Amino acid sequence: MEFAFVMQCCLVALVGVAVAAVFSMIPGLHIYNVIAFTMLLAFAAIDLFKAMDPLLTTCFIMGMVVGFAVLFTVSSQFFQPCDDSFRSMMLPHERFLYEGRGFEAVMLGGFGSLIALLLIAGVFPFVTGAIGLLRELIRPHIYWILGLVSLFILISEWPKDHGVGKTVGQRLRDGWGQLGMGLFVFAAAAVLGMFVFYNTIIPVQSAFQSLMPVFIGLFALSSQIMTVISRAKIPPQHYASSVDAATHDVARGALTGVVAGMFSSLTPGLTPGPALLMSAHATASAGDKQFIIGGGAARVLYYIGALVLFFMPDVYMRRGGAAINISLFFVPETTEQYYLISGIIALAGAASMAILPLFARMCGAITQKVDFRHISLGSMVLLTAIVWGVTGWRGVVMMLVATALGLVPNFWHTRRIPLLAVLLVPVSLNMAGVGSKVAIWLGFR
Amino acid sequence: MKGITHFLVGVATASCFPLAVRSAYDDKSYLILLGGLFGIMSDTLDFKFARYFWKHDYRVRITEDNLDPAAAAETIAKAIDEAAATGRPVRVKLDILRFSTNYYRTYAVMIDDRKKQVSCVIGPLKTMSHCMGRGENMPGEESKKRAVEKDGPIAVLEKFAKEAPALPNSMPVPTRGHIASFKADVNNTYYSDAEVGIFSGPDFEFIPQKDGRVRIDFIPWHRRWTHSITLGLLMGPIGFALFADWGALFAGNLAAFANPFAVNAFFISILAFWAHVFVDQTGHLGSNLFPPWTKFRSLGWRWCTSASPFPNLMVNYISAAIILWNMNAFAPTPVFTPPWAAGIPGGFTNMTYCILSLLNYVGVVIVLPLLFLYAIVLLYRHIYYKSRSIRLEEAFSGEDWAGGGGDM
Repeated sequence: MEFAFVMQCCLVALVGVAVAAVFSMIPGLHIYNVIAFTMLLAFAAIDLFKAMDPLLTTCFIMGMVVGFAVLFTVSSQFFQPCDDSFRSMMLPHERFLYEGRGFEAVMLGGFGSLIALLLIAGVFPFVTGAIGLLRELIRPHIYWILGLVSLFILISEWPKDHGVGKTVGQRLRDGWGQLGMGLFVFAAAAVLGMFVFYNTIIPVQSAFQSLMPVFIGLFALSSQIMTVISRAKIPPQHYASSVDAATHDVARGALTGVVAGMFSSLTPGLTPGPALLMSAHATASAGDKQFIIGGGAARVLYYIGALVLFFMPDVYMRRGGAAINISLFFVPETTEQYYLISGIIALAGAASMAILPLFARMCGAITQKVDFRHISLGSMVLLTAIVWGVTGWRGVVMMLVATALGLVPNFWHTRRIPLLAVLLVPVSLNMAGVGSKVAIWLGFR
Repeated sequence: MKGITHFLVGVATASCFPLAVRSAYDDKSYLILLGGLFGIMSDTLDFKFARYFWKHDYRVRITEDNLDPAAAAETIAKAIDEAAATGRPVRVKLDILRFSTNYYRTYAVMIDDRKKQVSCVIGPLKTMSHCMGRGENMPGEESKKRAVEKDGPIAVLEKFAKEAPALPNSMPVPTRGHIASFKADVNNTYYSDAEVGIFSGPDFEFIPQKDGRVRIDFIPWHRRWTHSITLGLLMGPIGFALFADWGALFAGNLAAFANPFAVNAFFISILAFWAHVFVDQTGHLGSNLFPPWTKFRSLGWRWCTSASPFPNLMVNYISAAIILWNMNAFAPTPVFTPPWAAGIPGGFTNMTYCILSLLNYVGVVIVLPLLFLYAIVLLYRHIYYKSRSIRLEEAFSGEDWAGGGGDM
């Protein structure tokens, strides 16, 4: 590989980071949506695209994914305050914002991201054999592992009532109101997922993005609506020159995040949310800081770690939207390419980490000048336009149905994690070979 | 232990059944999930059902407008004496005081069995994380008892309230504390102090014993019949029913009805359930193991608390290692062969191969990492815990490092 070509790869990766930084300003926008849009543009200008070395486009996408994985939560951190009247409890990073510590939350998450980046770029190249072996070992078992995660999501919905009812019936009703809605959300999301997989109304030319409207509806748009109707006020933020994080908090948070990230990156159909839920329990994570650091590490390992498996000798696993899109035009062949990608990750990661504090300060400053509701409103319009542009009016209909379901947890004080049944259940059933039977039973075939 | 720990131990138990693992290669059944389901079944029954049927004789509800510690202390003292006087169990529930979505007004109670006193101190506002992390800052029981002897319970509880993580400057000034006295001799089966903070708040049951003392049970609805060997036996038929071919039964085909999956499900359900009971026995609370023949929870072995990070981590790691081993051992073609067994023909059908590969795996994948983890535990104990836990005495040795994180 020539030096000049490597330099070109580095350059386009840095451009990818810059593009990701711009799009990370929009809360709710997912990098896979941006990649899909990039691919549409690439296919529109197919002659130009074909003339480029596919590894250059790959490095550009890699830069985008790295930049996004490190930066995308910053806008949510600052622009999506949680209205506590819609919550049973606030998550630590949400509370940090109300305490003027949004910047601290970002930097703690950054610690997790940094550890995950070091692991991917510095340790992964030496353990490809072990990762390949693990992947080979669990591959036939993925369907029940996903079933297990689904089961844990259902079982870990514990009552949060305060047990103040005077009669047994009242107490059961108090506890099971919230519990039951958690189960309902899981079941409804699973049915929606089966519909999307077996009888989607998305036009066939957009079928490669058939999950996009559902995911935007369930997670992004519903959150934006909650933000728009929120009556919260964001206090002025404090920008500390150092972060108070004990070594053990960083170590335990990173352990939680690494376990979750590895678990989700090696298990198709699993996202970092449920993986982090299980990992935080399994590693007995405790406290706000460990939670935030773990989240940062898990996200980076999931987005970047899963993508790097596509290039890894002994593994070559196509996992996640970015890998699927890259596989449309590039097939990894050599160890040299893998080392180049590892270097690109290190470079893009370093650039992203350098941007992170500035990016956080900028977002924090924006909250004091622009009403966060307007940002979310703008984001809603943009997301709807993207869904319309990529999947047409049918996609918008799917998105609206998913949005309605995505709003349910907010109004019933349940967790949002059961919404992931939209992916977990159909993927698990399909892998077990019974997906079509269930679809027929549901009337979707 | 934590819910996920029971869940994983259950799955590890199920993975020891070859059919549950081999099914991934042909039938693609979800048999192994039964391990997780029944592994956590005991807590599911307790926390989602049994607790709602529990009735209380006294219920203490302190409000932010009236932060009166006497309400809790006097009620508990009265309940202890009432149990002794009437000879019947008396149950008390301490309700939490939710201040806002984020914050809970905490208060702590301490039952001193030697001085026959119940103390209560109104504490600061805490988040859920603060409350759950309290155990990591608590000193050991013996250290606590010595400090109470020396400084009195209010001073000790006040120190806990002020030094454990909480919202700064949120404790009432001056400190609101109250000591109530009781007459009966007591047998406290749990920690001497408890904080009322999150979820639904703790319960106590005061039960007269034959020796004249009053036994104090913490969250008495927990680990009764649901955490028993007896109930575990009843889980077998449920597991069997889930995998039995009921159509075949009505067609008169008993062999198909009691198919191998159903038979395996029978034993997986029982063993995963028992595994939960066994793992819980390592904690403080214990379980009522053989109802209806036994009436009370036996005491736990007190090796750790349910919230202790390292014991949970270790058990989860061992469970994951067992699952991975079984995935390999029961695969049609094993993915890896440990070096010690390399060159021995026959694979897992050869006993020598099995033993050597298992020894190699246990040594390298389980024992060495756990020794490494234990070294970290020792380091953690001497560096972190010693520096972070609340010091009640000058010569603090860092004993009982697991802390009083509560047992669930």
